[in-house]
Amino acid sequence: MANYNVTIINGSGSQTMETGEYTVSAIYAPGYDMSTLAPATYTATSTSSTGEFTISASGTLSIIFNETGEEGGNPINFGSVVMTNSTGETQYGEVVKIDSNGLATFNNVPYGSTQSAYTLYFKQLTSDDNHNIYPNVFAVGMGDQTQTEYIENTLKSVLQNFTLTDANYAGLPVYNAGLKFEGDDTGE
Amino acid sequence: MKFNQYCLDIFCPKMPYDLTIMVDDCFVIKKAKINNTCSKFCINTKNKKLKIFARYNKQIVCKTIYLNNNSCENICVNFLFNTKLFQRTFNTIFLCDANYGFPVLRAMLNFGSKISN
Repeated sequence: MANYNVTIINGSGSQTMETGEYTVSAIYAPGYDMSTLAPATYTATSTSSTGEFTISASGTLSIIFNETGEEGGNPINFGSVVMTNSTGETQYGEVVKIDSNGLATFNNVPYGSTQSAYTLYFKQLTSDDNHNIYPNVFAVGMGDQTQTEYIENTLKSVLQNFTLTDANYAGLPVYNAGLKFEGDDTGE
Repeated sequence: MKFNQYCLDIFCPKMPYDLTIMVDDCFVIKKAKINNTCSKFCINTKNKKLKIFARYNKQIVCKTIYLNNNSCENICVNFLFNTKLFQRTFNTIFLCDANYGFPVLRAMLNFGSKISN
C-alpha cells in the first residue's frame, strides 16, 4: 500500500505518488500542534496536482510599545503592528491594533524552545501623535508558549520657533542669547 | 500416464515481471523474473492443469490453462495489467500557517493508507 513522507521546507515539498486518495497527517512540525493539520485527505490525480494544507499553533506573543523598549517604560497610547517576512515586504495575517497600554497581542503563533526558538518578524505601521514608530522590521524568537517583548517608540521632536525681544523697548530683538528649556520627561 | 510437452508463448507488455508456473494447483515448476515482453517456455508435465501467475508492481494476474493431453501444443498467454492502478504523478504540497498564512518553516507530512484509486 502506498505510503509517503513528504518533507516541507519553507512551506512546500513535492512527491511522485500513485494516483488515489490518501489520508494525511503531520509527523513532524516544530512549533505547531500537529493535530490541527487540515485537510486530512488528499487526492493524487492522473495529472500533476497541488495540495494546499494549513496547520495551527498555540503560542501567544504580547508586544508592548513604550519609550524605553524595556519593562516599565511609558507606553504609547495607540498604533498598529503586523507580522511580516524578514524584509518586511510581505505581511502575514491581520494588522493588530496597539491598545492604550501600548499592548499588541498575537495569538496562535508558533513557538519553539529556549534552545531553538521560532523566529517571527514584525513591522510597526503606526504610533500615536507623540511617538515615532519603530523604524525597522524586528525579529522575535518565540522560545516559550507565552512571551512578552518590549519595543521602543521614541518621543517625537517637533520644530519650535521662538522670539526674544527687549522687555523695555518693544520690538527690539535681542541680538544674541541662549535659552535653556528643561522638561519633566512626561512627554506632555 | 505419459509426460507431454507444452510450449507457452507468453506476452506481457509490462516488465520486468515475476513469472510463476504451477501445475496441479500446488507444484511450482518455474519461477523467474522476466525482462522480455514476449517469452517462450516449454514444459513437460503429465498434469492436466497449469496455473500461470505474473506479478508486476504489486499486481498479480493469474491464468488457468487446462491441458488437452496433446504434446507439442503451443499455448498463447497474454497478461494485461491495469496500469492506471499504479500510475504515478508529480504532486506539489504547500503547508502554511493556518492563522497568518506564512509558509511553515519545516515539517513532514505523511500520506498513507491509500483510501481508494
